Amino acid sequence: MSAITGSAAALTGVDAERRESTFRLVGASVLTFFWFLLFLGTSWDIMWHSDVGPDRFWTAPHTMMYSGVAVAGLVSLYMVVATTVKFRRGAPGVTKANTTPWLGIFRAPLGFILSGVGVVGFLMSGGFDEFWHGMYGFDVTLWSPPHVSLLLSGIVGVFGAVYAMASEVSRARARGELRLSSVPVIGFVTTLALLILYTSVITPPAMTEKLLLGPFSLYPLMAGSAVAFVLVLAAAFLRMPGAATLTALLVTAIRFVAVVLPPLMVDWQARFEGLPYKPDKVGFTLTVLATPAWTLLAGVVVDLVYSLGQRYTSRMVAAVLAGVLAPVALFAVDRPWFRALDALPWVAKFGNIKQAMLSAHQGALYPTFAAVAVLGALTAWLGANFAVYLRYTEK
Amino acid sequence: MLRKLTLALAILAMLSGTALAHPGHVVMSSQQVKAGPYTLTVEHNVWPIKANTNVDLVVQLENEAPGTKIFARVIPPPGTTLVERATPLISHAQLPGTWTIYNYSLGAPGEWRMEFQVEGPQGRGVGALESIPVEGPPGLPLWMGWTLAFLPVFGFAWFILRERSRVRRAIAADGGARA
Repeated sequence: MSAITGSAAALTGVDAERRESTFRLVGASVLTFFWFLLFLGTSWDIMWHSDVGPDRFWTAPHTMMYSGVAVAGLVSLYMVVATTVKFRRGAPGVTKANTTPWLGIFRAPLGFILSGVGVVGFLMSGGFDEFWHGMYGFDVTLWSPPHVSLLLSGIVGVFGAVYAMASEVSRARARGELRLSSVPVIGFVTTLALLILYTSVITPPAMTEKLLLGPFSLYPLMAGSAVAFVLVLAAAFLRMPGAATLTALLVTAIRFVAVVLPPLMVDWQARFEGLPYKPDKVGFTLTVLATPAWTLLAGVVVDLVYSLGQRYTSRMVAAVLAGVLAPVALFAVDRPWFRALDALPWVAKFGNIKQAMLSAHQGALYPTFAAVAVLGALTAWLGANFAVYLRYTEK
Repeated sequence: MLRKLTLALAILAMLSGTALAHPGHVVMSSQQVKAGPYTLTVEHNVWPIKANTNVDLVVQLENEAPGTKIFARVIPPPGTTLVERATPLISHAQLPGTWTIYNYSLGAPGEWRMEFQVEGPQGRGVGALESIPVEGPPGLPLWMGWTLAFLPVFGFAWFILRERSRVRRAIAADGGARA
């Protein structure tokens, strides 16, 4: 009798654990969607400025960006408060082992706390941005301190979603329910894909305004580091064949969304406001140009090098090797910073400017590839270490 | 009653006057540029300009013929790593019959140069505004702005250090079974 009661209690425990996981996965998925909306709204905003123009605070893309972040904040708050209440009531499936204490009041999954902190940082950066615009006028460059602060806060928020998904991967793994097609895995790689896409929000000026950093082309250093960090993190955390490729596939899929939607949204907005396109309009959003089109190749390289490398050496060395080879292979095939010269009408119109930009990049090509390899190794090492932190996260 | 009505009308008149008044373009610098057969008047609303601020540029072409196009090359001072920018001028939204550059700003202190290329019925003409003085950026010192900008990174670095300690303890407890 006592054995029967014991097994029933254990079954209830696993069921409660599963129910709690479903609750957190739904929360993490909604959160991820709203962080994706921030990317989409920003891509729309960037294209609006490059192709049509006038800036003020309450434009449609700004509304999408700020409301996306606000809802991400509300979702984070709801998850933190709801989990705290469940913990205090002693609800099954919500324990000290799967919640993180915060501020001496709350007990909640770490990812939602981190995402909430990212939202607070974003909203404060929004105030900083308004203050800055008061001094400088509207949006003279993407590389202003408040813009960078907004993006970095957004990245912190996405890291929150990464943590929320990763802890569900760890819990599903502990229950022996993990496959590459599992919902937590798809959710996790989607949040990682967002990290690469967020980088593309800040890199466009490295193609248009400030091309070089010393003897190096700046864009490949920034984009290559992000690609190496994220793809190695995917492979080293999931340790499943195809993890990095799946992440890269999602980058490619979301990039496709950014190819299709912003031009339609800008067109609608221009008609709605009765404004003409600028004569030197670009015709697409620069985040598309700044997201490497061949990320899928880098994903395949990371998966191959990481899995084959472990046969001959340690996991960490395999990860670092993958981090060197993936961005180098990527940029050997795909050179968006060169492609930008043809894509930007104002460069194409003036041959001498195009020639000067081309010469600058050509002169920097070999040092740039060397630096991409070194930075790839460093960021892959960081990614592999961070993967271990995530493997020890289930709360 | 009459006094109240008069007051209300006076307030209404003041408000409508405010609404109708055009803010006008402040001209702090006005210079003529000869671009081949064409003459341009180039006006700035601040002079000297502060780096990275949004400036209102107004360009007027004498005896402008329909279909004329104007392009500008904005050339940074020697020694900066900024890229030269070229752009077609567009119609000024507030001042009909004049041209401007959308989101015009100059990104570093020094003497900038702006070259105009006019394409009209008398062919192509090129002329330049040889010196546009640009001072340092306004407001907060830039180092302070960038320190504020990177606060999320400092916060995240602190978080990662805490994570490192947590994971080290967990690895010590389970012998690195999940590492």
